[in-house]
Amino acid sequence: MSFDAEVAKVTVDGAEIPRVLVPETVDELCEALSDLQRDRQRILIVGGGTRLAFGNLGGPYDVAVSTRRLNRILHYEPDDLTLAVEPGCTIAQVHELLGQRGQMLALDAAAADTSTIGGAYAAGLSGPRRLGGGSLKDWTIGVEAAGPSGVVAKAGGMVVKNVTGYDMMHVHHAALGAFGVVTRLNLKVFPSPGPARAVVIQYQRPQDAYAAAIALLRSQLQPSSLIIGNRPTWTLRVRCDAPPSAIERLAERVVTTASEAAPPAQVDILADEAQAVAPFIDVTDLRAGLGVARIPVPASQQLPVVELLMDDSVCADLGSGLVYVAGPPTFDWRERVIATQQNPTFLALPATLKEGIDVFGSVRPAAGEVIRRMKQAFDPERLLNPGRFVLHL
Amino acid sequence: MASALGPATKSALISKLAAIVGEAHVASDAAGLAVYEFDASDEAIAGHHLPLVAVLPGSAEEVVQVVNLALAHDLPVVARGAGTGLAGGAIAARGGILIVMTRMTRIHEINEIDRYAVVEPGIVNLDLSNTLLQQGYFFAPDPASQRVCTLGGNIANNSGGPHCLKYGVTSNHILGLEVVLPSGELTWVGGPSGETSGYDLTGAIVGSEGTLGIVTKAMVRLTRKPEAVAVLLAAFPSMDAASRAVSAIVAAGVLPASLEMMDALTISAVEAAFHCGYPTDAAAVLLVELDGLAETVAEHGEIVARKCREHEATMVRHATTKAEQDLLWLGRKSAFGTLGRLAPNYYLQDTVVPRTKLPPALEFVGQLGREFRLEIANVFHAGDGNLHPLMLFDRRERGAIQRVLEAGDALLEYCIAAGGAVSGEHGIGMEKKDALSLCFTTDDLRAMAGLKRSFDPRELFNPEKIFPSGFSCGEVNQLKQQSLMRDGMYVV
Repeated sequence: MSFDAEVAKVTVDGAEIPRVLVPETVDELCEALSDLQRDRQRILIVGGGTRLAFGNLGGPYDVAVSTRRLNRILHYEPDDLTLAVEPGCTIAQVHELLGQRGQMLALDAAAADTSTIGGAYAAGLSGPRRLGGGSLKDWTIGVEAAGPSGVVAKAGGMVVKNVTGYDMMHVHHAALGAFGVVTRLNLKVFPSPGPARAVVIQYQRPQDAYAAAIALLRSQLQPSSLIIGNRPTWTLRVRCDAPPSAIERLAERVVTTASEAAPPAQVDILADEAQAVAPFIDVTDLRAGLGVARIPVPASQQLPVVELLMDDSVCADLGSGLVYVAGPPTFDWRERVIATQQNPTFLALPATLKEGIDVFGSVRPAAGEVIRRMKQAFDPERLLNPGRFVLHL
Repeated sequence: MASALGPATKSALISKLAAIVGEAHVASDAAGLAVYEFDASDEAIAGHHLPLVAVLPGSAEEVVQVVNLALAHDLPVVARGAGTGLAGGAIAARGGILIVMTRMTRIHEINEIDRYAVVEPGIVNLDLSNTLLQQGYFFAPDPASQRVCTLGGNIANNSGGPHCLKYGVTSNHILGLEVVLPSGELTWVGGPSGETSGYDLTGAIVGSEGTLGIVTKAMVRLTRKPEAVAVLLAAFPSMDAASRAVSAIVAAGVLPASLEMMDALTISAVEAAFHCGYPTDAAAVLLVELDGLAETVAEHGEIVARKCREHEATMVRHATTKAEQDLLWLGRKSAFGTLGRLAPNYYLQDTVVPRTKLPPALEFVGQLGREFRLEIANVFHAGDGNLHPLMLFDRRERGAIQRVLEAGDALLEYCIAAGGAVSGEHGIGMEKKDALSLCFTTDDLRAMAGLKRSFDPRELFNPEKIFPSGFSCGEVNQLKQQSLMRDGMYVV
């Protein structure tokens, strides 16, 4: 167990956790969990700490357990297109490793240098490249997670196709650690498709941006991501990935298809692919102190929702059917988001505004009963992230 | 248990079921039930199991009523589609009510912009894709049995197919489900967006073989038909050379839509049946499909051809017309059936290794053939490392099935030791449930049992499947097992 000035202080929903443990190995983690269970200590699980704003008002917590030092690459076989990592690996670390071998995961995230892959998986936050490349939910082929007693259970494996036993990879995904502390993720990775371009097309009116975006969605051009932002103007951003021989023509075809659907005010084709998802990165940075919400709305239904929220920073991810919005952390803003009547998930809110709501949105009663029983089965004493998960579990 | 029902109770139950689904859609006599005694698995594995009664509901509401009736009588329920499963998953192992979904084939909605369709689980996989193709889309999972297998079965088994290499398995293409839970309630999970609010149970249900719920509608992801498709056929002088070519293609940064291998024995059977144009003098062929943008397909086609030639390919041919491509695929997807020309029976093993372990795994399959005196045909998803050796035999020959099963077990153990898994895409069902303990510990299984218990505490949904014999997921039995384990009397 190490002391680390960076992680020694963990604050969640305005409350500082009195004690922080930073295990260096999975064995140390399990030993700590076992000890903490014996003492009925309530645990906040933390990775890079970039998404701590997400979760219901839970606790109180006796101790924080950080996965940050569990940051080893456990297995990487480029020819098998498989990778196994500990949860504390940062997203930037994973991208860099894969990039060295011409491979990739289509994962965009705010604060990639400190944000951990375990955190992204546990919070269920993937980015706009879900359209062309899927999400962590799709790539996770194996998982290991420690329960509150410190016993590790695994599922899946290191093969890309596997139906052996239940799919616990989907159970722990987006569970915010409610069912266990993830200790290992096995991932399938992909060859890099080649150079990328960000096609940035500005429109005067949101309906024009949507007309262009939907034309691209319906085309055979296979954009990797497709988002519309409203700052400073309505802008459609498209990421294109293709081999060198195809990339320029692909970008031009994207411009042509979009322009035919709605004449743009300005068009830029940029080699800096980060520009294709810049509004997503900005809006979903949960450390900014703003209110952030994710609203599930399919592309064809997004325009009226986006128009309701146009005073805030909006990133509409058409390929994922999600609208992200960031605004002032006020009661009025929260109510404005709820008034869209689209069952939003609040990714960041001040503690006072979390009171009285479930930040995950509503859950159908029959499914809610199953989720309650899952919490009971995996963490009967409610020691892991107590109260933070769906239904305040 | 079904046998516990007295004749009067059984008769009353059948009347109630008939009132729900219609008399014509209930089978309860020996002749009517006989077709449900097996699925496509070998009887030596799954045995003979008759349900008490089989019903064919026509709607989700009827399924709800049937399930609630079963719960009231403490009867197991097993959902079944076309019965093409290869692991005994759709067999009523403990009797009870078999719910056959094949009447529920409606397509409720196709949404091209949001790229989903809402369909019923009884629809045949290929019928769904053919309908979607008319609008320029397709449903990517395409098991070899896609001409007959149902979407519900695909969901239950998280089925694969040749195109999983690029597009992923069924789980990656199911956005949401309407499902009858073991509580008897009907609910939706998931939805059209990439992440739903709340917590999404969809991924847990897909691949659970009907043990966590019965799907009554599925929201499936539509994949846009690609701009260009190329199909290449490469012939090799050995399986080893072909499997090294597979690794080289993937290592070169090419992710084909599919990358399939067939050996000489399979080619001979396929050619005799369909005359597809596979080279009968090759020891192995690779069937490679590339799709996407025209420029990408052209560039990757050249890389694939080059890699094949670098690995001793004696011939590389581009199937240039759609008819030629379809014919090659017909041969691949019909391969299992054509092996009936070579032997009266076959046992198909489904296992998987990391793709770089394919050459030694195929060598091991060859050794097994020699050791157990079996002819083994190989036709499989090489790009995924998903082996499908077909062990040919004659059931009438004394001891033949035992040799086959022993060889199958030996292969499973080999593949797991090589970093692989018990099943790549056919499911666990009854066939492989005892093999689960080869790769999972009691702790692993106990976690999975926690999931089962959360959905189905009474263990009435498709019992006797997935978990090893004697391993119970129910709360009471779990406690009993834990106590036995403490006393050293029970080992999974």
